[in-house]
Amino acid sequence: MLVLGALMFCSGLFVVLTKKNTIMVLIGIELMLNAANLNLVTFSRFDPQALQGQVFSLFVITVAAAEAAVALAIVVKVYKYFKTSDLDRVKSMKG
Amino acid sequence: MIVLVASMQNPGGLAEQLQRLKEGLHFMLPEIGIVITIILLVVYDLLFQKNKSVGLAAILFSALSFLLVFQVLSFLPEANALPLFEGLVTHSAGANLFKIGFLLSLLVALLMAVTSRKDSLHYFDSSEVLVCLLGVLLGAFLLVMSSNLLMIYVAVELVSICSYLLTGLGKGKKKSEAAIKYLLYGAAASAVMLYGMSWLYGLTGSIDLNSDSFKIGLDYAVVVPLNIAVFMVLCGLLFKLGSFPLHVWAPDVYRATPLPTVAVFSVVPKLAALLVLLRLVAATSATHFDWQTWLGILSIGGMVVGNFSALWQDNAKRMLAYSSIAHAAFLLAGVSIMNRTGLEATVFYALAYLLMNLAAFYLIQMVENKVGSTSYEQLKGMGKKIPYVSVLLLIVMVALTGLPPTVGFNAKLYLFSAVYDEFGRSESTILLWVLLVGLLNTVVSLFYYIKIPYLLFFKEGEGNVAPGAYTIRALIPGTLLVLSVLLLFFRSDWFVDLLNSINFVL
Repeated sequence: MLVLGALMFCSGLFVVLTKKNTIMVLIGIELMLNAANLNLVTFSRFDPQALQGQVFSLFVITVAAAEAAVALAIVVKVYKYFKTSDLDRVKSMKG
Repeated sequence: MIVLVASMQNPGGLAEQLQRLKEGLHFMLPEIGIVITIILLVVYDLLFQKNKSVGLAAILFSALSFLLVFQVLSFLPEANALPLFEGLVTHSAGANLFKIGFLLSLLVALLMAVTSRKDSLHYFDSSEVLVCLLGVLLGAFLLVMSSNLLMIYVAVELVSICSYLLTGLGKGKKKSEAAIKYLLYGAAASAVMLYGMSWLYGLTGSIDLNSDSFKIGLDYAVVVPLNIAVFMVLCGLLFKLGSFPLHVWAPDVYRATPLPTVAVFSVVPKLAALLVLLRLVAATSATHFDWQTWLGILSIGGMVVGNFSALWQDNAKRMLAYSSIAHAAFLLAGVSIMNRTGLEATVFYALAYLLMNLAAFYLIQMVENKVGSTSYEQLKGMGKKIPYVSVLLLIVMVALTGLPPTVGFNAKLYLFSAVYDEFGRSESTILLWVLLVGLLNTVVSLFYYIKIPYLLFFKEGEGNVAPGAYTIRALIPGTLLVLSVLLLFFRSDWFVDLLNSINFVL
């Protein structure tokens, strides 16, 4: 499970760093979050006090949903002004 | 949430637990107050159709002033740190000091919004922006108290999501662009932080930073994964601190958002993240992670990047963004000292930075109200037309540089002497480099800070704007802030005594 989590995290990070489409980047972030969830649930098995990790992952799922909602709203807004969701073409200001 | 965590840590005795929770609630009054204010604002917004701004402003200002007074009155420097809700949050005097600072900065930001004709509609027309601002405040309040990885994550996300919304709310191409950049950087940084936290939990078997099992777990943990995990958690905090190398979002966000919001962004999440970082450093001491080297390197990088980028800016807002990156680097230098003197110097610097930055933003807002923009081109020659505000701005810029007679000088002096003392004790080369680069960068920063007064006084502008006089009401807060910046130079011992008396158990 930990290996799977690490794989998911790495592929998520890879997607975030290489993809140009906003939606793909968001999917990558989601993968990273789920990798962390997987880790938390796995480690929770060895926890003497039990359940800390599982409760943590419940919170992460909730927060991730809220974050995704805000993210998609902002993506729609960006699309309205730029007519694209390609990150390379969203630049009217220099970093 | 609280009941869940409580019941999983201490099964049995539900009545006893509920009793403890009830006792804990007493210490959460400021947070509960913020939540009630948010609800009031939303309900008021729904009930009334027209002319909402007066009512919204009334609710907000009365609530914030009440909270400020309450917080100041209940401030006990000698109070011991008190874990609440089964160690989920810690009630401490240090956190309370920061909370007073946060309330002050939100009040100043809202005063800025009221004085500005352009922005006041955006802020007080409906409740959205105000609710998001209060959300940032609530997140920061929880963040400075949190002593548990779960709590840190939830509070960081609360601050972050409200900040994305604040950046994105309103019309404009720039706003949407800044918001999407902020969001993608922020979400990625917090995902990395979360993954680091999951490993910290795995390695130690606890998410409570103060618990025994966390400390014992750290001693037995394998070194390499532990270092990677701590570094990942550091990433998320560096993002909130707006520090090198996760600072790229700052200039665009600062440029696109209205000044009052920027004033909040540049102070509240930054200082909250600083306190959590201090707590994390205290929890995982030097034997587990080489904090001094890493923080030293990050601090040097941040000073160089922040100061040298600020030299080439043509807009006061972007310049202040890079200046805040540089100041974050100075704060990191303070954290890297890792002893009591260093802690005090860092907190002193943080609070001085809060005052100076609020004054700077307030005055820039006043200039913008008359000139209509913050670009350097527009500022030229305005000094003769608005002499009083320009002189105040000169004083604040001197303070941000770190020259006497302002509190900026004391802050830098304490910080550098703390670094030097620790270098003399431990002979670690990284601290010497931090000291040298810091001194060099103070000189560099003089050029871009003084550029604004230079433009105001010595350049001839087109003179197409004919500003009227400021109202006394608008001048008072700015004058008070600048006076406090000056006063704390002459009586900095008040501040130091206060810090000495505080029981800084993190």
